[in-house]
Parts: sequence; C-alpha cells; structure tokens
Amino acid sequence: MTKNKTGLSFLGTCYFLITPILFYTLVHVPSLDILPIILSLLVTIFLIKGKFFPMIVFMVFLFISSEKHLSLEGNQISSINTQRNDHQILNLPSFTAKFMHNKFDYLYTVTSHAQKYFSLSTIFSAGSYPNQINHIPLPYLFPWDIFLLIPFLKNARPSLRWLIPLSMMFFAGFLPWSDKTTFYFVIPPLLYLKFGLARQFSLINLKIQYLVYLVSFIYTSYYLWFSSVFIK
Amino acid sequence: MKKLIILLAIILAFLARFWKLDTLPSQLNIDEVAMGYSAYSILLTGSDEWGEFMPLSFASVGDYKTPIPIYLMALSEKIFGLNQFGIRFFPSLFSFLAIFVYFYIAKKYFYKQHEPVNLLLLLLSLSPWAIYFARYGYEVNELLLWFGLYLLVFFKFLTNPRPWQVFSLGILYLISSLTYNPAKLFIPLFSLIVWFHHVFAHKLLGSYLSLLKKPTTIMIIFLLLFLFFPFVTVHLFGEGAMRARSVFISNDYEYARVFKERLSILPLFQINSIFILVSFWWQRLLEYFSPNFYLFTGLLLTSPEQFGVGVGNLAEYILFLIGLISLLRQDEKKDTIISKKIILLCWFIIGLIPASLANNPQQPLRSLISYPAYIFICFEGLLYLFGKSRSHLLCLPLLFLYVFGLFKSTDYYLVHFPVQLYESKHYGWLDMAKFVNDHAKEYDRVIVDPRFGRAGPYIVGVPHLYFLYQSKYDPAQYQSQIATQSGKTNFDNIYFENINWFSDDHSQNVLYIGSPWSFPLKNILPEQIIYSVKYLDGYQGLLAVTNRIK
Repeated sequence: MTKNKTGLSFLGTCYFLITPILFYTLVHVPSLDILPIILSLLVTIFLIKGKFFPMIVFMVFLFISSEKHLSLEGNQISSINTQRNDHQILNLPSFTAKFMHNKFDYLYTVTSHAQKYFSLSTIFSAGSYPNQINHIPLPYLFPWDIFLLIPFLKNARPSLRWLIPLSMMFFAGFLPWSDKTTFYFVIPPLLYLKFGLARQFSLINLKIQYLVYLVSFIYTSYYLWFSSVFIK
Repeated sequence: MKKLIILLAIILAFLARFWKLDTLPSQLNIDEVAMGYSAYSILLTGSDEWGEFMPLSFASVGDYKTPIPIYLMALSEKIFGLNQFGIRFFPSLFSFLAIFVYFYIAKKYFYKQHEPVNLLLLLLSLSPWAIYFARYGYEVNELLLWFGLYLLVFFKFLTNPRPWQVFSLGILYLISSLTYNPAKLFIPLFSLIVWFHHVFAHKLLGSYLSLLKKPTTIMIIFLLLFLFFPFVTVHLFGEGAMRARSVFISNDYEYARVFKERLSILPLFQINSIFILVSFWWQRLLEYFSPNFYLFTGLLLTSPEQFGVGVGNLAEYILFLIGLISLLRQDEKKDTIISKKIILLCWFIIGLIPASLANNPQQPLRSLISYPAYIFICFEGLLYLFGKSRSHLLCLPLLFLYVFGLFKSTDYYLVHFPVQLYESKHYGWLDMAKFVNDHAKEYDRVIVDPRFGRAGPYIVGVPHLYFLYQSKYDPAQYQSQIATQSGKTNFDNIYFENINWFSDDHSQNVLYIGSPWSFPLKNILPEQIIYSVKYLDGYQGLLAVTNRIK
C-alpha cells in the first residue's frame, strides 16, 4: 500500500471519506453545505500553506455568527445575581460575593460551550445534530477513532499550528449552543482531527485496516439508515 | 522544606475532613440516616431495623447496602453515640488514611527520591472531589483505603509472586466488595488488565503457572472459594446484586423511556436496542472525560441552571491534560516491573466504568475511586512542567489559579450548596422530626406525608428514618412493630402515608406533616399551622398542621 505526500494511504483516504460527520451535512441541511466546505478550505489553506489571510476570513465569519453572544446573556447575569444573593442570605460581607461571582464567570460559559462541541463524548459518541433534538447517541467520528487518538497525541509534534484548531475550539464557545450556523464551525477542526487520525490509521497493520474499514462502512450505512428515519 | 510540606499536608487533610464534621454538612442526608439507624439497630439488637440478624446485605430502604460500612458505623456509634459525628467518623478517617497509603505507593513504586512527591501529598489532601465526599458517611471513602492496601499487595505480587499474596488479594477484594458495590467490577477488571500486560510484556506466564502448581496456592484458592461462597450467593446473584440491577444503565430514563420508544417504530427492535444501549453506555463513559465534570458541574453543588464547581479546578485540569499527554509519550524501560503508565491510565479509566454503567450521567460519588489516579496524572503534569526551563512562568499563574480554585470550591460548598440544595438533600426533616417527637403524644395520630418538594410532590423520601434517628427509637421495639405490617414503616402513633385532607377522618385529633401543597391552605386558619421548617432561602418547606385549634 503506497502512501501519498501527506502520509495518507489509499485505504486511509477511504476511511477519511466515510466519516459520519461528512454525511451529516449532506443529510440535514444541503443548502448550507457550502459553508462548512468554505470554512474547511480556509483552515486547510492556512494549515498547509501557512497563509494567515484565510484564517482572518474565518475569524470574521465566526465573529459575525457570534452576534450578541460576546457578552453576558440574561441567564448568566441572573445566575451571578442569584449566587450573590446566596451570600446575602447567609449575611456574608458583600465583597466576598463580588470577588467570587462576577463577569469572569463568562469564561466558564465559553469553555462550557466549547466542550459541548468538542468533548470526547460529543465527538466520539453523541454529537447528534441539531442537538436540541437528542435523537439517538450517534457521533461525529467513529467511536473506535478514539483508539487512534492515543498514538496521534503520542506522535504529534508540538507546533504553533496546533494553536489554530485549539483556538477555534475555544472561540466556538462564544457561539450560541444548538445554532445551525455554529455547527459548521465545528466541522473544520473535526476534519483536521479526522485527517490526523486517518494518517494514524494508515500506519496500522493492513489486515486490521481492511477489517476496521469494513466495520466502519457498515456502521456508516447503519448510521445513515437511522438518520433517515429519525432526522427529518 | 520537604518535612514542612508533609506537615502542612497532614494538617490540611485533617482539617478538611474533620473540622466541624458534626455540623458540616449541617444535616444528615438520606443515605447517612439510613445507615446510621441500621448500625444503631445492629449495635443494640444484633439485627437490622427489619429484624434480620447480622445480615450480609442490609435491605435498608430497599437498596440492599453493603455490610462492612454499617458494622464499622455500629462501632463508631458505640464510641461516639448515634449522632452526626458517629455516623461520619469512619468514612472521614478512612479517606484521611488513604491519602498516606497512596503517598507511600507513589514514593515506593512510581517516583524517584529527588522528585517532589510531597507536592503529590498536598494535591491528594486538598482535592475537592475527595473532601466533599469524605465529609459524608459514604462507603466509597472506606473503599479508597481498602483499594490502597490492595494495590500495595498487588504490586508486591507483581514484583515477587507468593501464595500468601494471592490470599491477601482475595481477602482485600472481598472486603472492598463488601464495602462498596462498584468494587466488585472495578478491582477484577483493573487487576486482570494490569496483570495481563505485566505477564505478556515480561514473558512471565511460565512463572505464574508454576506458582499455580504449588500445593499452598491450591489450598489457598480452595480456602478463598469457601470464603467467597456466601459473597457470591448473596452479593453477585442474590439480594446484594439488586442495587446493581436497579441502577443499571438499561433502566436509565433517557434510554428506557426515550430511545427505546423511538426504536419501537423500526424493524429489528432487539438488535437496534442493543446497539443503542452500547452507544448510550459509550456516551456515558466519555462524558466523564468532559471538562465540565472537572471544572463546572462535577460536584453538583448548585441547581442545574447555575454556575457551579467541578470535581477539580482549572489549575488541576490544566495539569491533568499536560500530565495525560506526558504520560502517553513516556517510554518506560523494558525492565520496568511496575508500569506507572499502564497502572495510572487503567486505574483512571476503569474506575469510571462502573459509574458509567449505572443510570444518571457524571456521578462523582460512583467514580470517586478514580480520584487518586486523576491526582497522580495531575502530578505527572506538574513534574513535566518542573522539567522544563522557564517553567516558573507557567507555575506561578497555575498556583494562583489553584488557590483561587480552592476558594471557589469552598465558597460553593459553604454558601451555595446549603442554600440551593437544602431541599434535595432532604434537609429540614430532622428539625421536623425533633418537633414531632416532642409533641406526638398530644395527638391521637400523626400523619407524615413522605412526598415533598417546593414544585410539587416530586420527591418521595423515607421520613420514618429521620424520626427514628432523631428520637433514638428503641430498635427492638421498632422491629416488633413493623413485623406486623406488610412493608409499612409506621410506629407508635406516627403514620407515613399521603395526606388527603378532605377525605381524612377529622373526628380524631390529628397532626399532619407535609408540604404547603399537601394542605388546602385557604381553608386552614394560621393558628392551625403550629410549626414550620423554613429553607435557608426563606421558602416554607415543611408544615405541621393540626385539625383542631386548641
């Protein structure tokens, strides 16, 4: 089995192409498919060519999508007020309430959103889209991809380029959860990850590759059948 | 400096676990009060409250509790009496002692002398995950110590296998399983995986087979089988397994009511159900790796819609991620007998498996056995940073974040937890029980509604246990009274049943205990409400209402 320049074997490429997340967009909102493709291209150009302009365009997209969500929302303010009030109920000095509960709690919201998009649970087990209808626990990538994650992390060389998908994950936290547009910002870093995992897949024993590919193919077919029944 | 850190860790660990143990948390929760009264009953009569003599599995409130923590609790109640300190003493003590066992393991098997292992002791001592549960009378705290001792013997067994170690491991497994149910699955799974890795990595199968051929080993195995017989019959297949069956993931609301219902429209229902159940379990397992569990929601100290705290804090979590990657990238020498990498990863992941197989997502209590491994991995992260030049640039902000995280956890524990979760932890029942026990004789009957909750009758408690505990009711008398009732828990003139104000017989002088919605408050005069328990946020929780005005 020969490998191309990127280190992806033929079977590895096939493995990449049957990833559930690629079918997700096709099944659900075909009219919006163009957006994740553009976003993915922008990130890919940055990662391969090292040009910053595509990333700036990406960030502009992200900023526009985030709309009003770059500041505290009503429920967050309410949560902070309730918790300050808890201090008052126990007659504690007001500075403790202000020190403990303030706008820094927004960071928690951001991280909390980001982890909803990119936690292991979402990626490898239950990233159902659109998430407000929690149909059935189906993932973005294959459940067994997680076992490729360990050698992937082990072999990965620390690089500044890693900061980009990582920061994208973080910035996605500014976006409203369960928004259709948000979903497309989730796709590029996941494809980047899947690409790395597919490269890792190319390195394993060929017989196992065939076996995993077969299982993955069946899984995706089953998955699509499920999706066609439940997701209208 | 090293000794100072150890001394500081000991003092902090002790204070975090024992300071105001009798009043913080302010009242006993449902599990504590159930175990506390079962232990009291054992202490005075040798039987549990249902009249079962020296049970191997305590029926309690129908959840069949493990026996060792209750027998230990009986011992502490003998010393300290039936009170909050007596109930919480052994779990807190075991949690405290476990820290030093893990510290010893780290020093002896995982780290070299020049490495700052004392900081690990400090991290273990101050982990919010451990402290929160150590202050409740939960069984899992005792498991932490038993498992630490099990590890010590297990590591000796891996380095130099002897027949007596097989016996010790068997006994420690038995004790652990009779202490906390998830140990039944966790310990064999962990041991087998680590042992298989050890045997095949070092090609030691022959030496273990030769150990098996020794007459002493065969005798020990037979002896263990004999000792395990009651355990297997009662705890793996009998009533002791009922708890596991009732909380198994297939009974989870989301799976049983939502997913299975949806699947019913599809052909091949059985196959689809199994597929979805496995997928659902996989989701539940991976949810334990989500940052929110460690940073915002893990400890469940606030209402669901509020900001909260996790089982760790931001500094710990950053160290955990660095430690995890550092651990994965470590290449151990071929002659390393105790593989730190395999052991820590297996310990952390397998410790989460029993919790993931149960209903409810992200359970910090059921997964507590993973906490030492989590802290070990954080410490790996710290070591990695120490090994880097300019590490102080990151260490100082991390120290700040760590201290701030501790303040944050303390704030949520001392302020928001009692205010926001007063009701869901069944607080208020003890106050009401005290009032009723003082006044019950003035009435023909006292009717206590076991349903409560400010939003409606959504929580069903076991108030009889609070009444029994509060009055230190004679267990022998209670056993004789409930023997004549089929499954009911009434005693003296106190009846535990739903209140039906309009259909009840008001010819008798009756005292009713219930929530505001249990009564037609418009038809009741203010003088009829003779006592009420207010929650900390001012909400009127439980009311004592009489049908007569004196």
